Amino acid sequence: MALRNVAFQVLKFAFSLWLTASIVFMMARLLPAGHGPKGMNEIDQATYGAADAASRSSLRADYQRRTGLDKPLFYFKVKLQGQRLADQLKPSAADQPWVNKAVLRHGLPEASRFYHVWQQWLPQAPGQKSPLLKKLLYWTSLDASLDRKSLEKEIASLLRALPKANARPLLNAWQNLVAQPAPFLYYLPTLEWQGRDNIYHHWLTQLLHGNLGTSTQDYELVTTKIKESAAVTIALGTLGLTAALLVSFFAGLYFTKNPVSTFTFLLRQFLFVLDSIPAFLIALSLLGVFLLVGGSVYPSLETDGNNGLWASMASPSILLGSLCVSLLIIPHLTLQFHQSLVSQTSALYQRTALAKGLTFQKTLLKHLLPNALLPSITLLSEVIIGLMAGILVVEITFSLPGIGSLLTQSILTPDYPVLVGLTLTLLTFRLVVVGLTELVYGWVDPRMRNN
Amino acid sequence: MGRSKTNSPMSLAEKASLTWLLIFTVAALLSQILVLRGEQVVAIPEQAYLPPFTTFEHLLGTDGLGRDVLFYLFLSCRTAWLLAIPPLVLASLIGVGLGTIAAIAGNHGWRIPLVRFFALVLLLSVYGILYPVTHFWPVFAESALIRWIYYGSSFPLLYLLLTKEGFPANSGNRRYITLAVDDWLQKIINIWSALPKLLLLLLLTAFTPFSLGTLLGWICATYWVLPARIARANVLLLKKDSYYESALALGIPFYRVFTNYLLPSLKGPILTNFCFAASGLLGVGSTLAYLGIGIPADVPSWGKMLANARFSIEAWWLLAFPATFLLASIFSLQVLGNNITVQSRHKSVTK
Repeated sequence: MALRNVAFQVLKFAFSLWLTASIVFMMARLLPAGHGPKGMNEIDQATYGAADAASRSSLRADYQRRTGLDKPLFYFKVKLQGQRLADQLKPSAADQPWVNKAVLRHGLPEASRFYHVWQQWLPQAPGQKSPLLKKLLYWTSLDASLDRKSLEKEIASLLRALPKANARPLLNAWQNLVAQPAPFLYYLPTLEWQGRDNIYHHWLTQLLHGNLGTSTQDYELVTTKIKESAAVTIALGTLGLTAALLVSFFAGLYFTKNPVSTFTFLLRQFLFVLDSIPAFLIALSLLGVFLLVGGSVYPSLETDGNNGLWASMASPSILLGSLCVSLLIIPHLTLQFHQSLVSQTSALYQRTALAKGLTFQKTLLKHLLPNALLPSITLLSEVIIGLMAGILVVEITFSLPGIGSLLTQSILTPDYPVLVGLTLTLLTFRLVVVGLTELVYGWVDPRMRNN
Repeated sequence: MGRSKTNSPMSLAEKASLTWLLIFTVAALLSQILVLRGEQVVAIPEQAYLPPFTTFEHLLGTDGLGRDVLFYLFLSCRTAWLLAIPPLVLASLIGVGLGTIAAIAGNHGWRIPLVRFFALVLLLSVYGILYPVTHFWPVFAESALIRWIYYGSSFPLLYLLLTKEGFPANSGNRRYITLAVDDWLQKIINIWSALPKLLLLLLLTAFTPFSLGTLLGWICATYWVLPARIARANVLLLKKDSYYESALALGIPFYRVFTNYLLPSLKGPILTNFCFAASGLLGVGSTLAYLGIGIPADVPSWGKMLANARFSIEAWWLLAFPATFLLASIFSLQVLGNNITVQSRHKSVTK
């Protein structure tokens, strides 16, 4: 394997990691209810009492400022030319909506003139501001021109009804404003650079530092939660996988040695049946049988916390769960391994070896097995990736606090930072497994090395 | 065509499977009618956990809330049927379509002259740039005429660009660009089959509120991959046959080529995949209900009853009967799938 090939593979791996992370980021943006504090989107807003719209919106604005969600989304943004011009005006927060719309609808010079007159008029008549502001804000939301024109006439009559002579320039500015539309150049899109201070950049840099955010449920770090759950899942997975590998290896060999015995036939039929039963039924039946024969899922050994890995692994739930995991993957592994062994028995080198006088046992171990193990590497990687779904079901059934339980809880609660973090972890795990498979395949099979 | 050897009379297993699937479909239909009339399973807490075969009105017993198990399982047939058959039919249609297009076009089949390609890109960008102007500028915003011109002018322009041949004098040194449709479909399939289907479905259902309709949509979006792969592989094999070549040489229009030449060979693998995918989907749908995800709270399902059975193992009937119904449906579909495999392999051209 040339250095250039290895470097290329590493680069491809890094690129796919970055692409995965960006897609997960987009997914996080699309998730509902990610932009406000917890509970705000729910129908009964009991957490916030009978708060009115203004205080709710100020709460949301405060939350977004604290979590950095009010920053721009990405480095670039497609903005209309008119919107860009409107941003130059920099009105106050309360006036911003209607000033933006005024610029977009009627042009920058008239809108800025009206805004200046408005700002000069405001200190002189503080009491009359709020009905006018309300009507202006309502004006922003109207898109149908008929409704808009009638509202503009109402605003004009309201302005005319104002007593002071200082309202006269305001009325004139308003009438100039609504008289003419903005030029169509205002509606051409442009690309605007938003700067490095954007949500995507912060998310990516935090990710590179290993910080996945904090959970919205219990305010723990997402990485801590995932690490704690991963310990249980890895224990479950490794125990189950090793047991299954041993059983399927020997079972496959036995099937190939005795192809016509009834035991082989019965066991194969049993494995076919086991393969079609859904995973959670197997887990449930195992749990049911275990409880009915008098077992208990509470650990019988006294653990004082210092016994470490071995004691935590010896708890009945984890042992039972690993047994269940092995039952889930043994059928597929055994049947596929047996299939690849059988397909090798019709090869020419096998016939030559038998003709030379070797026993079937010897050819099985020396010739068939190495050739059959090669496709088993890909099979193994598929099984490990499919194991993620099986472990999820097993963890829910046996109430083990692993990654599967964490994923389900974060969907049901919902807890979006944990969900995004878990998706990233699972996708990265899958990328790593696939990459390792390619490496191992290339190392084991000399024919692959030249590619 | 006489009866071939594989058209032997159906074995007992196949008859039982077909009977069960018929019962299953009829039950789903009847419960749909019942649901439309607003019937629900009645919960009588005083009669909770009645064992089966004791009273006549609760033949299979009652569950923790006093709901009749038989009626609940009957209504759950509708959920299971709705989550398995319609989305798979749609997914198979989409998958076969995409797979066939990718196999027929291949990596070199879709050649566009470079000039035309740039003209298309330019057209699309002009339409994209003018979109805000025609939809939001106050002068145009209300006008239906402008929208008609905007969308309507795209059709003749696209027609001109996509169908009209260029000047024959230029055809010698015209540059072409080939779009690798096959590669793109394979990449999309690779990305989409990255995660196990259960995990992918779990993540997708987090985006939308739980309802049967959205779950149907997400199942469709997850299960189009396998039919696409099968269709692509089979059409690639069939393209090499001489009868396909002769069909093209005779100038038979493509839709006839598809229905008379390609579809008969595609039917077998696609139907087999349908049966096995349906049996897997029954399992996955029940798993989602078991986890409590994707199905709204008032919809009955076998998985939900099994999830509640976990907490009261002594009530074995809450575990046994839904499991029996589920396993019966899964095994019937698998027996049917095996039968179709055997029959189609005998009739297939690409053995």
